[in-house]
Parts: sequence; structure tokens; C-alpha cells
Amino acid sequence: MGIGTARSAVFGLALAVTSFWAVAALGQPQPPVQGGASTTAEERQAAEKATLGDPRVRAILGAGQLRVAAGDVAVDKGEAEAFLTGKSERPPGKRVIVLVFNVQSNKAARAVVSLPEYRLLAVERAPPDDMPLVREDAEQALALAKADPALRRAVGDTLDRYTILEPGSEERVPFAAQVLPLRNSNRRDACSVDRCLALIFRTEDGYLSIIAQVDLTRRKVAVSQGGGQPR
Amino acid sequence: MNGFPRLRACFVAAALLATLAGVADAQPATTTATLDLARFQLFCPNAVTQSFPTSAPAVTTWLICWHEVAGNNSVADPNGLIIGPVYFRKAPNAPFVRILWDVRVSDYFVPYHNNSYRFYDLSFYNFKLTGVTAADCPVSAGGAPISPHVCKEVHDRGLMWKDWTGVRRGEEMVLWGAIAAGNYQYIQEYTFRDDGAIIGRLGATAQNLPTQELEPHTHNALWRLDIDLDGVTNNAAQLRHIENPANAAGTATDTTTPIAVAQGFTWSARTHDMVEITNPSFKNAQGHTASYQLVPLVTGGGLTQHYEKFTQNDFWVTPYNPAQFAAKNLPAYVAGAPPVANRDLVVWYKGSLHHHPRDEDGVFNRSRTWIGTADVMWTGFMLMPHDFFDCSPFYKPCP
Repeated sequence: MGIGTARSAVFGLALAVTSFWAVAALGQPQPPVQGGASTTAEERQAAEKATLGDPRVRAILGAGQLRVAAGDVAVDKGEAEAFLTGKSERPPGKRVIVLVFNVQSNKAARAVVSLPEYRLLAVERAPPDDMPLVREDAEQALALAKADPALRRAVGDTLDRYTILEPGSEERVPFAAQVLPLRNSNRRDACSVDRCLALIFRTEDGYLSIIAQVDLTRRKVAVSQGGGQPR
Repeated sequence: MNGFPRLRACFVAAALLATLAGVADAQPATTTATLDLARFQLFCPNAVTQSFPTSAPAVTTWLICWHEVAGNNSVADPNGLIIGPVYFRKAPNAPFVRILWDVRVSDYFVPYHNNSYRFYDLSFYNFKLTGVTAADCPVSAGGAPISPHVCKEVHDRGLMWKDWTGVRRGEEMVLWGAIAAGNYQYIQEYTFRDDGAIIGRLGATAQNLPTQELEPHTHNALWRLDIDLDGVTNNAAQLRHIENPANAAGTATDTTTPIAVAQGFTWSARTHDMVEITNPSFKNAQGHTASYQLVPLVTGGGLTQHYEKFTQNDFWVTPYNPAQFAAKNLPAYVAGAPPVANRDLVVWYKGSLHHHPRDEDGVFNRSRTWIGTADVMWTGFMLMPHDFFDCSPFYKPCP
């Protein structure tokens, strides 16, 4: 649907189009929610690929194991306002911010990637603290946790059956490990600097009263057990 | 422009975008301009339009853009239900006025009393909205899912007013989704009332933290409110109620203190602190400068502070910067006291829930598995119009 077509749309149509389903039913433009995200997985992956392939990004990060995170599609507020108020015919451009982190060097780089060209508009160093935990971190933490004798004693033989449950997943996994990110502002705590997370363990009956605190930087696992007793 | 229809309804300028582009402090155009409704619909194809009353000719109308962020860079671009831009029309013949550009939760911060854990339940992992079904969002409550993760409800909201001339019940529309953050779920709820008020709430529910099932803790929600009252040139002021109980005269005063530079400040139960947002060129028919007032809806009488600096104020005002979405960085955002008067500005608000576990949250069974769930606890804020209407809305004697 082109802009000219849209201009001819009467406001009555806008009033009628009040829901995702109504939009779909009327054959209007696809709603912004696709696959649970405003940015499609394909767009995000393409933006990440473009970033990882850029020599400027490589120069900042050096060689090593990389983590990648991408945000949602963004538009410039000024450009959007100009378009919405008829001051500009040009729709605001779409961009995605991609953050890349080198696990070994503890260096991070940030890139602005234009869509749909997947061209890097800018690249700069970023604070490593800005890098969230991603799925790879979760998998690495679970592997470390499964190798920890104390956790094995606490959880028992089912430990090997736990898998990482993706956030937001409705899947009924019988043995689900979930991630809670840990950051500590107290500089005496290793997790004020290190990349840390907590793993919790859910069975079909409920949560085990156990937490595995994993320091990914030092590759250490600490296990806590609750003192809960049946009442 | 084949790609444009697929332009997502995300007006959110992502983190550091402008910094990287070298325009971090740039301010968008400041003039008030009429919304092109066709372009709005094109820009935001899933926009929700809601008029009130629902069973009679429209008096007031909301035009609400929303979208879901579900990325994995939640420090810079927090996941969840994002509201904005939002426009409101106070009468059928009035223009649509922009109220919000982008409202979202920046983070949830959850410190436990024994300092065992201090969780950031949104920013450092890719927590996402979980599914909603007809069970969450029933027709009987005026509900209808508008995406796999977002519910819309339209329903009665109780009395709007009652006086000697009669009575009127109000209506509202609610959009909500729930972030699944491990053992907890956080409901992100935004209510748009027939009288122009907006309410944002946090609801915390689900399972107490394993190993800390009985440990008290607080859930702090930090909202980033990019308010654009009829455009981006806005001002903020701190409103306070001042009264000395020892004053035999029994008088009280309300003060309005303009906020000239970026800063944070606290809320007090005794002084009813609020933040007022105005646009110097936006007045109602009475000639009064219209405003929206940020009113805390405090649960349990208090807002908590913690060791982390960003939790030590309840309100913050910062200049608009598309690179700034992280509540944990608020002290840095106000460093150097950048000006916020007559600027595009952003208001941040922290709401707190104090959760002292109880048997109603659950108990351990014989295998020491926690059985039970914590009912929803709520806190939030209201954005209340002030001198926005020309007279009482939905009150027949008013013109």
C-alpha cells in the first residue's frame, strides 16, 4: 500500500481499524507485531550479520568469542514528526542498533544499521556493561552448572535433563532452567564487574528451592538451597 | 515506498542512535502542527482508536499507537509493551492533541532485604511478553486480544461524578501485556479513560524466588515517560502541598517550582509531590495553560530507596535523548544539569511494591518444592489533565 493510497483513506476507516484482527481482516498493511516482535528475526539476523562482517567492528573487538544483541527497529523522532504533520513527504528511515561483545577481550562495539539496505551508518566502542546476557550465555551457564558437583548433589540425576527455557515461551518443558541476570552495584561483589547470572530450575510440580549462581567471567558456580520445610 | 507499509509502529529512537549520528542533543521541530490522520494510520497500522461513550455518539476519542519490543538488547531498548504516540480529542469538533510520544517500563529492580540478590528484571536479559488468551482477556470483561501478547479491555470504570443534578459512570480502555521474567511475571498495564486521564501500572505476580521464597523484597518499576503535550516544546514543574500542622491558622499552600535543568527528586506522602508538564503555547478556551500532571498512585504508603543511586529519587526530568532508555543510568543522564525548560523532555517515575511473603503466596510440599503463586500486587501513576478541558467533561451544563 503506497502513501498515496493511504492518503485517500478516510478517517472512518481508521476508526474501524481498531485491532490487530480487524486490520488483518480488512487486508490492510501488516500489523507491527510479527512473530512477537516489531523487528522480524530475519531483519535482526541480517543486521547482526552486517555488523559482524564490518572491519571497523572487528578492529574494535579483536579476535575471540562474540556475543551479539540487537534492539528493535527505530525511527528518528524528528523525521517521524515531520512526516506525521505533513511537513515532509519522506517517511522516517528505519534503523537497528546492534551491540557486539567480545567475551575474551571484554570489549564491545555498537553499530547503527540502516534497513532495508543493512548498511552500517556508524560504529563506535561501547561500554561492556551495556551488553545484556544472551542465549549463548545462558547455554554456557547451564553447561557450567551441570558440571558442578554441588549442584548435581542438590538437584539429583534429573540435572542433565534441564534445558534453557526461552523467555516468554509457553512451552511446557518438564525440566526447565531459567535465567535471571545478576548485576551488583557494590564494587566488592565480583558480579559488579563480571558477567553473572542465576539459574533456577522448574519442574512440572514447581520450582526447586535451589539457585545456581554462575559467574561466566570466572567460570564459577555457587549453589544456594532454600531452607523451606513443609508446613 | 513499498517498504513503508511494513514500517513498524516504533517511534522509539533506539539507544545511542543520535549519539552515533552526532545529534544526541538535537531537538525535533518545536511547532505545534496538525496530525495527518491518514499518515498516522499508515505509520501505525495497528493503532487503536477508542471513543467514549461507547454506547452513544463520541465525545472524547483516543488515538493510540502501540507496539511490542521483543529484542535482545534490553539495556538500550527495553522489551515489552510500548505505548505511543498517543493523541486525544476532547470534543468531536476539537483537534487531536498529542499527549505522549513513547511510554514504557525502563526496568524492574528487585533487591531482597537480605541482599542475597538484586535483580534487574528487564534490562539485562531478553525477557519478553508472554501470551494472552481468552482466559486472560475475556469478552465478559470487555476484553479482546489484539496480538498474541496484548489484551485490550473496554469497560465501565465506576462513578465519574455524582452531584445534585445526577450521576454518570465513566468508561476506560486498558491495554496490557505481561513480561515473563523467570519466576515472576510483570503486568504492564496502560489505561486510557474517557476523561483524558492515563494510568500506568505495574502488577507483580507468579512465583516467589527459589531459595528466597520467604524473604521480603521490593519490586521497583521505573517508567520512562516521553510526554509531548501538543508538541515537543514542554516545561516541567514540581508541585507540592505545603502545610504546617503546628500552624493554628490552619492554612496550606500549593507551590509550583519550575524545573529548569535535568534533575531527580523525591516524593513525599505529606506534600503530595507531582510533576506538571505544560506547553507554553497550549491553552484551553478559558485561556489557561493546559497541563498533564504526573500523580503517583502509591501502594502501601511509600516508595523505597536502595543503595543504587538511580533508586534514590522517585521523579527524574531529563532532556529528550533517543540514546537514553536505561533507568540505571539516570544519575549520568542528569550530570551536568542540562537544560529542560522549553525543551523536548522526558519524565521518569519509580513506583515501588513492598512484598512481604505470606502463606497466601505458597508453601513447601514434602519434597521441598514451592507450591503456590503470589497474587498480583499493583502500583503505578496517573497522568491527569489539568485545564485541558474547557469545563467538566461529560457534564451536561458545560458548553
